[in-house]
Amino acid sequence: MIKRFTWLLLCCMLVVALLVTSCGDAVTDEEEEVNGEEEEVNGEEEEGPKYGGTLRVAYTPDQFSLDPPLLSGAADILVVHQCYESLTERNPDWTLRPLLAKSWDANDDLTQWTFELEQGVKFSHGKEMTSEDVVYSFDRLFEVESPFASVISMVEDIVAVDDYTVRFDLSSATAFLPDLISRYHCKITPSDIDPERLATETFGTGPFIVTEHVIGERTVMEKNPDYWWDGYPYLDEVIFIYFADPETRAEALKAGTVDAIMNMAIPSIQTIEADPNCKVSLIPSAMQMNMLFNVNEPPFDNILVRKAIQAATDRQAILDGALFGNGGIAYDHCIVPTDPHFNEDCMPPEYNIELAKDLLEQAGYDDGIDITLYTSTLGPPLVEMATVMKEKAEPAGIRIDVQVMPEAGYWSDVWMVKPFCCSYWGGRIPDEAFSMQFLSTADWNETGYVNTRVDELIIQARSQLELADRQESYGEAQCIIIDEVPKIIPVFMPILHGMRNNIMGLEAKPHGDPWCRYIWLDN
Amino acid sequence: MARFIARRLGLICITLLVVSVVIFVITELLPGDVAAMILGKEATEESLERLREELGLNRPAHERYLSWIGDVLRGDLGDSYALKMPITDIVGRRLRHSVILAAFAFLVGVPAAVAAGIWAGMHPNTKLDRLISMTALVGISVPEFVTGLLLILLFTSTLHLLPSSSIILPGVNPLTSPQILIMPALTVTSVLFAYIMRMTRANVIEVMQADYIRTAILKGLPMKRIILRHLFPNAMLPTITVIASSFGWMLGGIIIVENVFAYPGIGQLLLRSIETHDIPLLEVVTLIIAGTYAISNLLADLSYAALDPRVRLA
Repeated sequence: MIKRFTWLLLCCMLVVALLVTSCGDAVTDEEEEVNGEEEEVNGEEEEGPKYGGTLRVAYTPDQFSLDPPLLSGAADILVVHQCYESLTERNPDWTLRPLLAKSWDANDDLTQWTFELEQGVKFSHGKEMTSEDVVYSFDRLFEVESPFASVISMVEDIVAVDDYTVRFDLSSATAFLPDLISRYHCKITPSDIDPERLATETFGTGPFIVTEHVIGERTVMEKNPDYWWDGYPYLDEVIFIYFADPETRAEALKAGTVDAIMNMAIPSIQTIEADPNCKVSLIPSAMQMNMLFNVNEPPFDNILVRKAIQAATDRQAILDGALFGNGGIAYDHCIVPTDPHFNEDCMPPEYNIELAKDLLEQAGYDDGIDITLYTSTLGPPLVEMATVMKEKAEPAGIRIDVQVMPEAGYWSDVWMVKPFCCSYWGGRIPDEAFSMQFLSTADWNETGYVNTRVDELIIQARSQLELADRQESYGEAQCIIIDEVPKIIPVFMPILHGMRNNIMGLEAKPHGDPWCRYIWLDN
Repeated sequence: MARFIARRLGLICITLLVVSVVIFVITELLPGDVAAMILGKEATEESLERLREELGLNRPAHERYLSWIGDVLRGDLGDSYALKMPITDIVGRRLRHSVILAAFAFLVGVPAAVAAGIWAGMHPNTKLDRLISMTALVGISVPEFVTGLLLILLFTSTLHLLPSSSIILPGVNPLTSPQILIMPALTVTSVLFAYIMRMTRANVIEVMQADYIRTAILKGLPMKRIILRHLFPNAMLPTITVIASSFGWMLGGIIIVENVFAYPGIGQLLLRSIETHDIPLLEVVTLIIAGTYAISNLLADLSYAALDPRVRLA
């Protein structure tokens, strides 16, 4: 009997709760602005990082193995970043910093690179890191056929010159080797540990050590007491807690069950910003979403059709509709406007329905064209991008049928199979981005685009040490690609983290992955 | 009796075998495979081929199924494709969590539903009866993920009473922190409640018309005694089947709830194994759920026979 009243009460409370939450938005917006100002004042009075404490991070349970050369799950990558280190590391501003290698040098034709290692750095199980471990790590990367092996396939041999010197012999000139080996697949692992154990344990030189790893539930990392950076890390413990549902992650942050959501879902921004106890750090990145043509299949083999679709692309509307205005406009190539290699002289046409109609007519489609755009609900808002594209292209007579495909099998059965589909790419340095997407011989040249001049320019830029020379090479490549439109790249995605107000040192960085070594709690 | 149970157990084994074949075939038909899922967009043809080789995915489907079922019959559940860990290690812990949640929801939901059903059946068409029925119908009609989020909005965001998620932090287990079970249990119960309540109510109304109840009332028995001695056992007979089989349903029905509340049980594991095409793991989890269904149905029939001497099992 009593239960009955509990249920009644519950019902009434649900209704009230709905009313309260729907009316509450306007009020919290104002509160949040006031709060934002207070925060800035506090920021100026800050005295410096404080030590100790536990950081609880909510993350997606995308996990397979912690073995560095075989990484593919987003959660595994983030854990490995905190526990292992590479020879080099990218700074937040995309410049390169020495890490396990304190310096490096190349021969004149950029085919031989020599790295001097830091001395006295120890792995978490006590072994000193020397050149044998570096050679072992890269040999293993090729041996286990890491997905990254094809990216650094120009590496022919890695030689331990002495205990603290390693030499990379390349088959072709590359100015970007130090940059390429900063990637997560190239973390240095110790040579004396059975590789089987690397799937669930960590033995790195990094600031944290995995002490508990329950797949799908949590990963507990403790501070490495012997970490070789003086004064780092600040935190005693980092716990990754895995939530499949982005809404639940946001609720957990608001409730204080977790302290931060790394790589938060874009739709959560508003609700987290509205909470006076939470803040959002957001920055446009070089991660792109794109719609790609198979340039060898009709009707997309006709460049005029591609140019018509380019003219019917409302980039601002896609930015607003798919990314809620966060991120940045892209111009059909992979270089972000803040990158020094960006070429301002070449731009695709602004959204222009008349131009699109003209181009379609020239292509022989007087009555418009019917095409199918395949997309999926994979991480980034690709379905939203496709929907906005459909709406905005319609007036030009480009009638797009948006097909949402299952996530499973998208990369094997849809991507690079269907002639017009969506994909996305992580932020990469210009050489890597161009080489992977536009080089005619690349494994993932998703459009089948072949332009020998573009190939020449990409290869040529690899051996150009001066920025001005590279600007010229990449600048020309950008112009050609905009003009020939193998794919529409309308926007760059933002990188964002949501966190409680007391979390310091966790700012969104354009290269994506956050380092827990800089994070501290202001309690 | 013994023969009946033996025959039913035999049938359950056949059912499970059929389920395992169906799951295997469906997974084979789905687009993509576990190698493509693990390697994702970064996959190259060579790396896919190597991983398929390593996992034995290159063998014909029937061969893979037979070797898998052979291992299972010998008691070896094998390794998960995606996680490369023994399945017993993964499932055991998760199953314990799910059983605790299902049992908790069951213990809260069933008595409440039965009590409400009896009251409503004895006072049919009163305002309160209509309200109970309506509430129950709303509960069963609203999808579980909506109910779950509404509960979070109410108990966490507005009242700040309960944690929003049922994650299990180090050093915590669901038995020592039952507060993490409350919202998931309420969500599961919202569906179960309507089901059992409506069933009980209908039976109570029917039994109340029976001659023996009229006789009992007319000979002046106290109402409490009528309910306990005459109404309850007779009205509960059909409901028992529903209650017993609902335990099986519960273990399956918590899939969505576990994902909304991030509760690490087998429901989460099931979803993940479907996403990653992890056939061995998917098979084991499905068989556990199907087995629970089958066994709880058997128990329903047995309890029915035990309570009603008219039912003969042969």
